[in-house]
Amino acid sequence: MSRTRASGDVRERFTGLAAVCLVLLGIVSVRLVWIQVVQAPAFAAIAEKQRVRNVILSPRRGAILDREGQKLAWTVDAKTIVAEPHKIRDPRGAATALAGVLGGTPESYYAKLIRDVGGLDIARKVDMGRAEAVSKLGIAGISLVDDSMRTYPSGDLACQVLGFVGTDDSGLAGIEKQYDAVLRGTPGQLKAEMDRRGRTIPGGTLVSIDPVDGHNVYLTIDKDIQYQAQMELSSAVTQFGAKGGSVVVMDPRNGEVLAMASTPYFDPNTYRTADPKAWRNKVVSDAYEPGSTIKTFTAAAVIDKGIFTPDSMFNLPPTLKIADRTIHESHDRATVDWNLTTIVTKSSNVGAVKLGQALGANGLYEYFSRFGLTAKTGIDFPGEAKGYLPNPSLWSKSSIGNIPFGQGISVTGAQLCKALSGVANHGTLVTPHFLLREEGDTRPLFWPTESACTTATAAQMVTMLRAVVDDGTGAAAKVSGYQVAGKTGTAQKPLPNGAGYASGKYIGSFAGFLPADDPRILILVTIDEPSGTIFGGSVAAPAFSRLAQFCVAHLKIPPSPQVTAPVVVTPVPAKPKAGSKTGNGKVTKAPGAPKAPLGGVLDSTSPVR
Amino acid sequence: MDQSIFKRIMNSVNVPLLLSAIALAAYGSVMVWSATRGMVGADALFKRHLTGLAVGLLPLAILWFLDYQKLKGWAGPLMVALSLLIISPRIPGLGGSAKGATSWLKIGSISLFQPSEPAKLIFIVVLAAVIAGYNGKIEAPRDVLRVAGYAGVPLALILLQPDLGTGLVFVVVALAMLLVGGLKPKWFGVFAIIAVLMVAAVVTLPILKTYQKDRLLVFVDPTRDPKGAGYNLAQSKIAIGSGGLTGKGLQNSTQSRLNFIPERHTDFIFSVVGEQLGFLGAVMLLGFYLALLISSLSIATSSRDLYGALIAAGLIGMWTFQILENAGMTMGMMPITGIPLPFMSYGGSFMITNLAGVGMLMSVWSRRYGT
Repeated sequence: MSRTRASGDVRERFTGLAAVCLVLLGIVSVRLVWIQVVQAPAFAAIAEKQRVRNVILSPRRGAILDREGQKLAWTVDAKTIVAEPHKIRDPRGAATALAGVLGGTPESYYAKLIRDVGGLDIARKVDMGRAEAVSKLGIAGISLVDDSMRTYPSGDLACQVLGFVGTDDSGLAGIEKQYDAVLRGTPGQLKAEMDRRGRTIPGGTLVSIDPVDGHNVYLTIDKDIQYQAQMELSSAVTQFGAKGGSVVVMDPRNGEVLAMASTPYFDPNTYRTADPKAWRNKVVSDAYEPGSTIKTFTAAAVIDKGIFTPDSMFNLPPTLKIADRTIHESHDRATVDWNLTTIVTKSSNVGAVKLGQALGANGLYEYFSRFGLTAKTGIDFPGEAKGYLPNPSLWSKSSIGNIPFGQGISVTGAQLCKALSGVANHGTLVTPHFLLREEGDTRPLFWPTESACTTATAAQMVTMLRAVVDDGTGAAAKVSGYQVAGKTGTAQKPLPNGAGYASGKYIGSFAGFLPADDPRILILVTIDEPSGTIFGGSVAAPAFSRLAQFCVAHLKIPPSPQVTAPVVVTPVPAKPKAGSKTGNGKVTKAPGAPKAPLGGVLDSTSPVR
Repeated sequence: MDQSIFKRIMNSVNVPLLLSAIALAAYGSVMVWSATRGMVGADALFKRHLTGLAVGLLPLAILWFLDYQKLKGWAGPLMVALSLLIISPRIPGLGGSAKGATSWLKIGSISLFQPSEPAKLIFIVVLAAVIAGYNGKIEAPRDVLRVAGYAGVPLALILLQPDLGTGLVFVVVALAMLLVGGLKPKWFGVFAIIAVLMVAAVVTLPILKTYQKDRLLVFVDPTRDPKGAGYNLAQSKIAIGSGGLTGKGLQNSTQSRLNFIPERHTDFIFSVVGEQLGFLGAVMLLGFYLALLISSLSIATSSRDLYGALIAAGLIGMWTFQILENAGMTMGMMPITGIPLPFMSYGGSFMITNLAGVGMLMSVWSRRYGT
């Protein structure tokens, strides 16, 4: 009755069932072909990507040290504060506690703690002290991750020189940027398989390369001189109610920069909160019209070309008309007969123009070029600017009436220091630079030198520049016990639109070096828009004097022999370089600088007596 | 005499079915072993899998030697037992829940088994008895209603657990048996309309748990929640796809070993096969299943009566659907429902049920010449 084996109906129905089963298995197979054969490469790539973690291991950034090995910038351990919002039971309370330790408003932390993410950074580069405090709060869901942080232990010291680094530890400005490749080091790599939760699995390491820490960089900067330079600069800027100022201390023998700064200063530790204008190293990056300091090179040109000697006489009218312009002196005077030396010491504009006319545009340009005023100095610093001195073919008829005394030309402080090194360094220009050495690199450093003028010309210029300080506009630059050579500058500031000059806006400067017979210190002080007194001899020279005083003591530079023998009227030339006529050795204590040189320095002078 | 016994035994053994079941169980054991490597308590898991396999031989043997026709007379009591079994996890003191479904029978803290697994077999046995009573012709509305009632009550109970996966198994099993049992085609159309209406009701009314809705919705739109429910699907596809033609080798798979695949030794064992043994391994598995289904079909058509044929049809429907659903969900063809892969997935209750099914088929086969 119920036997169905022979039943055709049931057999037919099972054929139907079999067909359904086969079709369904067939569909699964087709899908399998699609995923495992056709799309296999794509899925393999996804699999690789999601399970292999490639971690870049950060090297420790090298420190920046001064020439004595004192730390100017270094990297210390720090922590990143990480939150896992879903684990935080009381975000309101946690936010308040975090704000109490880390600063900021509780609201800003609260907003992060309630975000719907697995984890996020609450604060990066938190110093160990505060990190410890956060850890002691014991908030579940808040944890610390290793981090590092760039620290500038002396705050604003050499701020523009050092620059700063970004959150990714790459140098963004200054030496940090210039020597980033050296300081940065080589990142390591950890390529490993990780599980679903992102944990590295044992034995799953594919690549493991340790990071190589960055090298330390030693700068030519002398921390003590840098400190003193910044002190003197800011006190001068304050004293004269100036808008700003800058200072450079350089060794003219080799171009090593011992100090460089411009106001306002900033603290690289908190550079983000500072005015970005303060980040600029104006000495290197900003050009200005130098004014009379340029006369040094106009005079050097006529001597080196053999047109005049320091004794050549000039008849100088009170004013001089060149093309459409009338050249005035800074202080009115009658017609005089002055020699070349006096033109420099009294900083005569009319005299400088006479020299320029004798040289001609091409001659003047040639010498300014030879003194490096038409090119970048090659200083090892990012963003160096070049001043403005057009080719003579572009000069107007009146150009020869202002370029010789430093108008219609602009230079950077670095360019001026380099040019003056040609005078101080027996006719050879040096390249200003910051790098003393890189740790781990013993290859000798090479800084190019160029010949600007003959040794004889340089010696005659030193004599003239000594006279500027001894008898001329730079009297306030005197340093007790040392012969100082230098030149003042008082330049009107051109209007931003280039049409003439702003009334009452000046840059007063003094550029000089000492000891004059064997220069070891070259200093440039510029004071931007002093109010009241404007002259470089008054606003910049005193700061120069005090700073130079400090430098000679700090560097234990022996005093100039001639100065120790003031009574000798016709002395035996102490040095062949010193011109016989200018060896008058007049001693005048610099005003306001009564302090005697340090004991060691005095001792070194005694044998002369 | 000896020869006669041997002959009798050989006569009662369907060799293709036995071989394909052995092949699948062996394959499954290897894969569970391989998939659990690196997991906490891997050895214990594997041991429990083998234990389930061994324990399953007992119901296999019992059902083999038991005349399946005797079951026909127990349809009433079995229906009661089935209903009790389905609701047993809900009985205080007996139930235990896992992943949102109350699906374990427990005494104290000891988990015994998942009642939904043996329920599938009892459902088949009961429904086969009811359908066989119509001798291959179910046409009158009254008859259809009665059959639908026998199928619908356990189905409703299992859906209320809620256990959507087992519910779907019940539906497919019932359809396969009704097809063989001679339900007129127009009634399939009526069932289809009712099913559509019920699905519409389920989607709009708050019947499904949120996690079940999520699973179904992710099937419609896999990018809906890549780290949540859709994450499982995405990871499974990545594992299978990255296995390529020949796979990465046993134990060697990266996606399975590194915990990217969830439930990799249970619901997603097919992903592990695909990743570790590649396309060839997966095709081999499907080949074993084909052998299992074809030998089952041959047993069904050899059955001496409609009842045995219906039991076989139910088992074929159950396995076909579970293979399709499980393999399909790992490849994004089917929604993720938590239905394991027959003979392959880790799980004692599930393995025992499948082996018991083999025993029932053997019983049908060995009595094909009887009266």
